[in-house]
Amino acid sequence: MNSERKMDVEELHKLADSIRVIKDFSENHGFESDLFNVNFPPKKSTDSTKNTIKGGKDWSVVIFIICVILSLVCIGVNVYLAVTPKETLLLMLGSIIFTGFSIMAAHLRWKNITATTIAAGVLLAVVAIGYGVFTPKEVAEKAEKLIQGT
Amino acid sequence: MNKKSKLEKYIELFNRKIAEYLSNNVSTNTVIHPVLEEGAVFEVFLNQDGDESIVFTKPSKTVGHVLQNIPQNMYEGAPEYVQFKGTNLLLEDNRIIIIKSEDSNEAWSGIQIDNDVSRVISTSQGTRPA
Repeated sequence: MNSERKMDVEELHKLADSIRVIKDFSENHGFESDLFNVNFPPKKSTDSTKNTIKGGKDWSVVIFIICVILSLVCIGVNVYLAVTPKETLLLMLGSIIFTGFSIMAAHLRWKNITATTIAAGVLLAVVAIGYGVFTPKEVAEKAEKLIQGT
Repeated sequence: MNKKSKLEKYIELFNRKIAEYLSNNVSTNTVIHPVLEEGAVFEVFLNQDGDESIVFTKPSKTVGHVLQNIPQNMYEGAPEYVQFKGTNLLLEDNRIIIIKSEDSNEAWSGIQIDNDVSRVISTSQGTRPA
């Protein structure tokens, strides 16, 4: 009987202990709220809807695709058509500019530095190979070194 | 917590963050109550006198002892029978009482300051009848 009684007391102590703990408590006791100028901003739209227009087109993706295609077209013209060195330089500059825009569009759309860096690396490698700055083998070796370095 | 530099750094960052939400001509002056054991208590007064002072009081034994000596409506009774955990906030009249009860780095980090400010703002927009 005594032991049962003692257990009750212990339980009571535990209960009392838990009541005494005040954790992460907040209370407003007549605070003058006009001392704050709080304007809650409207809920931010999610990344996927931010650049979407009424028709459901995501413009940053559209710009990204167009710029990549234009960059590849410039490379294709340089590779398959007989162009003068001056025209090659012009095409190369065009490719670099379109690549830059496509990388910016990709970053605005996905906001992921790793993904943007990888996309930038790949596109610049394609441009470098397309204009004969590096051979595919050289690019592969550089990429390998870069991966080993990280 | 009786480290003056850490207490000052916390309240300077807190005041800087809370300043973004203050109405025009409202400033904050602070009384810091250091504690010999874990935690500390801050009284942040919102005033329209341009007062931005920070004053330290003599260290108390525990946060409970501090609360026993300052006017507040949170609890009454002997401080040794109450245990504080985390960050407790009390908003009264023109005053914010911040009760920090731990000395861990997380409890005093920048993320925690952001969290404390958010809690103050959300609590300030709802009132409980006295």
